[in-house]
Amino acid sequence: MLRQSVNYQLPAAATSCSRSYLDSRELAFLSKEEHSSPGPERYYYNTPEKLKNNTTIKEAWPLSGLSVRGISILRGSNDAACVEQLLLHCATALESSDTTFAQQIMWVLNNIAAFDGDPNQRVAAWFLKALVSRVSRTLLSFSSSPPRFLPSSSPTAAANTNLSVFQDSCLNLDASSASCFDNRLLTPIQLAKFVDLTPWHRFGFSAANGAILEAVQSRDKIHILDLSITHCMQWPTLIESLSNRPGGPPNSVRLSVLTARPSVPPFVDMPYEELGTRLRTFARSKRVNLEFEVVSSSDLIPGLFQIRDGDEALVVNCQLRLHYFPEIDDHDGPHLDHHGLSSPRDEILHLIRSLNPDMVTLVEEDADVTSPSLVDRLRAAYNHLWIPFDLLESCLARNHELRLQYEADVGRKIDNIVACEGEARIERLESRDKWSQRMRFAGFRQLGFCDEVWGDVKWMLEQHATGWGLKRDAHDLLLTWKGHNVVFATAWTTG
Amino acid sequence: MASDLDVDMALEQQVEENLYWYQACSIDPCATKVCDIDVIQGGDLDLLPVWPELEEQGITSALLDSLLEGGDEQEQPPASKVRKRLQPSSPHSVLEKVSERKDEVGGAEDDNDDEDEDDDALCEFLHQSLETEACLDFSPMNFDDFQLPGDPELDLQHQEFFGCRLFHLLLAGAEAMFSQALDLAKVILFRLRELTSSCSSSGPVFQRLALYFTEALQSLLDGARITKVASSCSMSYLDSITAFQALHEASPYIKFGHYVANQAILEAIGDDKRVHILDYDVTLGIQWPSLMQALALREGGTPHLRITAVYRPHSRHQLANFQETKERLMECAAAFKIPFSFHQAKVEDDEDSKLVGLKLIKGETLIVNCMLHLLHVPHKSPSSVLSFLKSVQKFSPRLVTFVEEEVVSCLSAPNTVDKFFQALHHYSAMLDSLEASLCETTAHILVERAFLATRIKTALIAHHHAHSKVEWSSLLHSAGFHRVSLSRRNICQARLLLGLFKDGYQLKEHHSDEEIEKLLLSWKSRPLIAASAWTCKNKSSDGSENEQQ
Repeated sequence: MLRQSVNYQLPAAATSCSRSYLDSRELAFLSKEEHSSPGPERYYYNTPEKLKNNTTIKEAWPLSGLSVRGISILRGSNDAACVEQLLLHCATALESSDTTFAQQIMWVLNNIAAFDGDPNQRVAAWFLKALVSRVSRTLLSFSSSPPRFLPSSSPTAAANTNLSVFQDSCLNLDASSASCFDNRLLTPIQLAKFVDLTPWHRFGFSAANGAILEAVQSRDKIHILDLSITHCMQWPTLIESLSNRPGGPPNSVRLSVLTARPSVPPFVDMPYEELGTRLRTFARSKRVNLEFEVVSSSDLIPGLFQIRDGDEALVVNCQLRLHYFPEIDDHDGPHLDHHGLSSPRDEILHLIRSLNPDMVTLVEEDADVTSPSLVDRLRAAYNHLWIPFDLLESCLARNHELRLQYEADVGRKIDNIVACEGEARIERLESRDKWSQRMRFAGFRQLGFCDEVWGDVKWMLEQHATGWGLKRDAHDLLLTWKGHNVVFATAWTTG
Repeated sequence: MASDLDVDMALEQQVEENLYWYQACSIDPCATKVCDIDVIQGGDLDLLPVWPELEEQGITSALLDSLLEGGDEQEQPPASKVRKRLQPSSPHSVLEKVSERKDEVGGAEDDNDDEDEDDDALCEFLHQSLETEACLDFSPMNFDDFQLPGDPELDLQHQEFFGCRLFHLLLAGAEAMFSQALDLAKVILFRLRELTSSCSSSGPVFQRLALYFTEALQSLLDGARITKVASSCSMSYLDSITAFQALHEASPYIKFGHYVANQAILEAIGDDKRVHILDYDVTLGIQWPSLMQALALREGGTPHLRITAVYRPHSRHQLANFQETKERLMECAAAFKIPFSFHQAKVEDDEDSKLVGLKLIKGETLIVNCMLHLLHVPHKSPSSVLSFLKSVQKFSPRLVTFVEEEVVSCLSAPNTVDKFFQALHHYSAMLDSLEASLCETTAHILVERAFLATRIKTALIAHHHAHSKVEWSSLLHSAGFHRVSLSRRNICQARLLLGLFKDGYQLKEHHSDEEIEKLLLSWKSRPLIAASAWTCKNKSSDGSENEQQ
């Protein structure tokens, strides 16, 4: 709706005038002319006919790019819709190469934005940062100059070792203003705190663990293939539940963790081997015999993988991980039009299918940021990623370090969605429908969650802020924040 | 000595003879061996009959040396050595090289601090740099020769030699001009015109710079006045607009001043309900849409905004069209739903001292906006700006936003040739940055033709005629204003803005006692534009009801 109401196109003549300027051949021609007619004013020249004919003075007026374009401005900077609209205006201006207008909105936005302000100001700050970084990346890709390096002696760069970057509440564009949190390594305790802070991850853990417990309730040998990004934080709860299950703990639990992890937070300062040792120790204390192994995607070959015993129950657990598998930009309509396995995302699903698992749990964020259009992507990202900023307001003080770190992680996501293109854009969340489509296409059948799981998740949510909610849509389980879908959990089986 | 016609004629003849002689012994730049003809050395100059007269006129040996292209045969470095010394580099480096030598000799650490440098040091510098320049001559004919395809490395060398030659001559010309040795200046300019006639307007930066400065010196010699120069621009309106658009879009020169000023205004007016901006030169009004948008979003509600544009019926302004500017701004205000009105106040004299038709309303916050950095706006003399500010001072404006070209403070150096040298530096950086920012479209040449050439001329003329030292801060102090610190947010904003442009632009802060006195836009560490904010000392009579005839 918004896109229709805003017309950012410059008149064709004005565009040709303002952007093509002069042909270099014309200039060469002009300079030849100048040699033959020396005089005090010889470097002044006549306008080429081309420009004269196509441009009227009115159209060439510099404000034509800025003038009324159906911009309706909402009042008050605390209005989320207002921030969103400004961001969208800015993205539209960038897409149509209207730098002047884009810069104007960035200036206006920067007067609203604050990394340590209210949730709206924080969202504005991170999105603005992403837009700015997009512009500087574009500049780099067009210029032949080497990439810009930050002067390490600059006071801002020096201050980057601690939180003082955020002392300037407004966006301090030294490109690295938030990089102090990049690749921040957490201890396992910090990681546990991070995960427990919100149900963002815990929801998926609860739902998936519940489904897994149900699927393997009568099995004695269990094999879990883990595709996740949270460094096995999901498993202690499951191990405990398995240990306490009515029929007694299973004979063996095998946990295979896929190594090829996308470079996204949270990062942990512990190698997988040590994590495995700790998990094994924990499992032993719970009378569960745990085997831990690290597999690479090349190990995931049917026949090679999983063959241990015919009666081993295989569960594949996909937690907020699959959307990092690359996907071809969707230019040609619905994905299913690509016949065969052209996309790596479908390939991994088919690979999983070929392992013939007893169950697959798929937990993903419910948003679609795969559009090739910056404006659409920004809108989708805004409508999804305002949530972490809003929910953190309810659980942490504004200057709490954990909150700033958490937000920096979200900011990193925003930056990737908005500023990056092509392979560099790894944050490619897809909608729930698309995932269902893909799963069915790969040959899976959806399972529902039983009431026990519903109850568990409900109980877990009660430990968190009141804004959280739980919703069922057909077979899907949905985590909501103030009525907006955040994360969905689904369970699938073969056959 | 001054006006004896015979002496003058004789002098000119002799100088020309020498030039002729010098050209006769010109050296093929491609030859590795220097010609056998005796070359004048600095020490032998007093053998020349022309010398005593020149000395009398205050012309130093080095100047003549530079004119005559002397050198020392014995110390002539072989071509290979020269090649090593002159690394191929950016066009800007030619001037940098000259500047380095200058610093070595003058002992000055900073461009801004070399006020102590005297003529002797400069002359010595000229002398020394000529020694290293080698005895290669780049007469127009020879210059054309190396335009032909050949060894690119050699080509670069030649360009650098050529560049050094041009700049030495320019400095010599300036010194002659400023020491009132007009005859010598004529000769040097003749030579300069000859050399620059082969400079292509699409050639490297140093050639174009030399071209513009030669023009500027010429018009100075011809006794041109600023008003005449400003109105002599033969660019059509349409070309000016196109050039302006290119400048506005691709380089931060215009926007930097506008955004720093707007940020200061936005912060100064707080939650005031009525805001009145007196704009010293509204031109196209492009400064105001962003402020309007920010005001529309202000948490304290949208204020009523009035803008009064200063209107000068006597000045011919290429780009200003009051009616169209008004319409655009009205449209814009309507889009942002801001209550807005637009007025004009006339100044009828050249000196901007008598402001007629300025209407002030009680309880209104008055802001005065002075954007003097805009390349597309005709040069304003410091005295007229000052008299304007003095005339508005009695209305106690809440804030005066002030943006100027930083060259002004460079030109406040006492030595006139030094001023010229700083101006060369300043505009060289400006040309360089424009070329880097607008390289994809070659629009920078259009911008230079439309604005910079005239700007250089007017700046030179203005500073040639300005007898007193121009230091804005002291002038503004004397007019009854005092500085307002710019905010941290303003720095953030400016940094954000510069981040949206090509590499090379930097932001510098000028501090004093925790306060940010001014923000500087620099190109590769050379400050070009300075933005600051001022207010009145007496805050007692805030916006008293007043209507001036």
